[in-house]
Amino acid sequence: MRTILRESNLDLLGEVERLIAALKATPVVPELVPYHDHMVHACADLREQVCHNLRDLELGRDDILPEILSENPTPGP
Amino acid sequence: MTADWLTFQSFQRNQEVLKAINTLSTHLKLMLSGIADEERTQAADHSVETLRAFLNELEAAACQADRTEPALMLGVDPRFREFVHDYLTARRDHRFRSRLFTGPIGDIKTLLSSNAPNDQEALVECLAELRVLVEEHMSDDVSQILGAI
Repeated sequence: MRTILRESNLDLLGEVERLIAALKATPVVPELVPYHDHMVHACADLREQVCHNLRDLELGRDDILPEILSENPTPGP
Repeated sequence: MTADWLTFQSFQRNQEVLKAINTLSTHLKLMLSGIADEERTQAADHSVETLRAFLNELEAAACQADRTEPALMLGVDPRFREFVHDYLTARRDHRFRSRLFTGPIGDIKTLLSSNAPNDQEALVECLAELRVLVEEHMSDDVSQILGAI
């Protein structure tokens, strides 16, 4: 379980960082700047959460795996 | 307010509650094992306040549901009304065994303030079962949101 969670968080970290880079590189019209900023902040929060999950996984404790699993996005129905 | 918007609101609130559950539960488990977990202390304190507010709302709505028909609960949005219904059904059916589902909700608010290890262990058990119910409710929100899209 820990290995799967670690791999899935590392994958997600890569995706979020690519998304942040793409958002920052994309020019937007002034009217959309607040929405653009909101998206960048949301992605930064997500990156922070993923880093947190990875740090918690490094603790090597099985008893907090349910919490880490619950913090991971799951595929929709 | 449209049903879709209420579902979005419900999803957002459930996400906040779920985050609070996970943060506090992780913090308590580490603390009970003798790990200081200072990095998460501030977030855990914030989680306590989030959960206290949520439990206040759940307690008020559950009291109202005891007195009246669920459909007549005043000041409670339909999605939260469904959550209250699920909570009361889980209590009635003895689906869970933590104090959140076997005793008064007020007891859990007391546990949130306690530093006693026994109380913290009981709180971890309550949080684990509350997480199950919240995740089920969120799953319904996601189905409705994706269905709407």
